[in-house]
Amino acid sequence: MSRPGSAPTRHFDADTIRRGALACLPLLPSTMIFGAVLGVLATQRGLSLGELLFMSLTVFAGSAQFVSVDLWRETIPAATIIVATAVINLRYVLIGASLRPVFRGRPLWVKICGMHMVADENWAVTMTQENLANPGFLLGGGIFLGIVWATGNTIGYLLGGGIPDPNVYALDFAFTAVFAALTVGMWKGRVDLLPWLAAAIGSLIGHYTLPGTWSILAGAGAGVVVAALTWRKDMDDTAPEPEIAADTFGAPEGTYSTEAGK
Amino acid sequence: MMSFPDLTTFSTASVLTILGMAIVTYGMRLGGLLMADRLPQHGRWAHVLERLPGAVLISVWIPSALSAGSIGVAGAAATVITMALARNLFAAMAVGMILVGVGRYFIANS
Repeated sequence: MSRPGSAPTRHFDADTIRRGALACLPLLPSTMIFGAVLGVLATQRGLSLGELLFMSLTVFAGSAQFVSVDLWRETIPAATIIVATAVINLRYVLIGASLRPVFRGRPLWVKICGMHMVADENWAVTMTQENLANPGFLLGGGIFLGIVWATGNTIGYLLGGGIPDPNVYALDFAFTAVFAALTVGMWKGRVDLLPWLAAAIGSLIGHYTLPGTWSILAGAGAGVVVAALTWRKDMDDTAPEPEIAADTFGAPEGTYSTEAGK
Repeated sequence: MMSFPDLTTFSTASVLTILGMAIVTYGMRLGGLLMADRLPQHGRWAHVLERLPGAVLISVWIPSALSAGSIGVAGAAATVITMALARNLFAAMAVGMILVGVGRYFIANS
């Protein structure tokens, strides 16, 4: 390799992409079933399968797609749908911001390519990795979830019904469970306590007082404000800025065994 | 309504609406990252950015656990405890989901 500190040669190497995809394996059943439910809904709202798949791969955001397809009519209320999508997906501004360490030191084109396939799930799995500086890991999870999501859409669309109710098998709870579990892996010590408490309280208040997904923004906002207020000068990171860690040493996987069953 | 199965129709209105949704969503994803890149790497803002993923994640699942009722709260608690003890995502998810699935079965049949 080259001088220390110089950029690595590969930004998205195949092995990292594969590990990112495998890490999202526990999400396969629920993503597939919800993809199928969306496919059934699309047949009732008059979208073609091609249009639905086009949406799934360009928008790639589950909850916004459910609301949009539900609003779909023969005369499409385009403005309503786009505004609803923007409101539901506002959290991606925060998710994008929190991905800074993943893309640290990478050129702009890597950010442009890497930021499309970002869903809540592969973002959360990526953020609990020991070595954050892996855009390939994020992309791998995104590609995997995108394929599963689109496959589910197609199955649901072609069957046009008869999909098992996800609630019966608690598959709706899979998303709650994965986010709850990954929160544990994000704990960095006592500095997190007050901001997390604020986020929990803020999201609960938002849940009871605000419509839709505004509770996410209420909670995250409360967490951000408390984090800013509780910062002290001596808290400043003592760890040296991680350079882009070359991902050739296989990364310390298994520390938090986010990979299914390993 | 269009005829079923309708696999390949692409109406201009649909494509434009979907593109609008996609541009808005992608713009927020990339925009969030590029904005964060302009924030300082040290000090208060760096500290806030480090707390951000946990705050967002908590705000995603706490309301949804609550929406799932008391069994949802119990399932989320079981998931967190399993993860803290076993440090295994698959096991933690399985414990939470089985608890919720079994719990719903008994609630439905009682």
